[in-house]
Amino acid sequence: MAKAKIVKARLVANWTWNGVNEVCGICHVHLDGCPPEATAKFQTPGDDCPVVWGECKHAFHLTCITKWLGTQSDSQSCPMCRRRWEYSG
Amino acid sequence: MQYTKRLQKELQKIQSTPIEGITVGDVSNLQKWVVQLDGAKGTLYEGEHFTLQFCFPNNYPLESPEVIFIGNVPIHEHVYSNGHICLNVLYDGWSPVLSVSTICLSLQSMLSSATQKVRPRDNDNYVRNCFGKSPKQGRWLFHDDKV
Repeated sequence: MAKAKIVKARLVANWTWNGVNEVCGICHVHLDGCPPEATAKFQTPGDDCPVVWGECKHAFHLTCITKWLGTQSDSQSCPMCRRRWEYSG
Repeated sequence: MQYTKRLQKELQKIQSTPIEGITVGDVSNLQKWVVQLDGAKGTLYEGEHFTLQFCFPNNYPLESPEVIFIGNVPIHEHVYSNGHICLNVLYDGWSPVLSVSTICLSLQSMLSSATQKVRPRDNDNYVRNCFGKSPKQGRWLFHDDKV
């Protein structure tokens, strides 16, 4: 049986966050991408720029929603539906 | 500004896919836009043209823009004669998913639902007391939740 020797291979994979095909409502960058302030240095899409979901099922970049919640003193609400923001486990 | 790109995207979108009755004017300074708002057909403001000024703070959209009418100020129950607007989404009710176009649509709808052209009841008092201030510095009491 003839054997082939693989000298070089280039593997390509596609990925996306589960079930989201939208832009982040806060920065308007795709959820699969990096929010603006992250693009400067080492961060690449994926684990460097995590996406988080609320109990209300709305998704945002972690850094974007953190900044928004940081501006709110008492009521921590989802920017989309204004329900109380709770991270979905 | 940390979210400059978002504002640039908003501008591109509003220019490439315009909304009826909303025209972006001078934007030579990205943090200060002038937008023309036309009174909708079949409403008290049909045929009238108004000018809005948007000033974006450095942390927009985490903080609301300052929005006022300049020049020809519409006569409306929620618009003071100095151009300040009583609309909760511009103040306490702000959310970062709102944008220039959603604000313009809210204002158009606010104008369109008017049944009479009157100034707010406390217009003179308000205008006298807030001379030179930003509407965002005041505390707003929203006495009409129908709009």
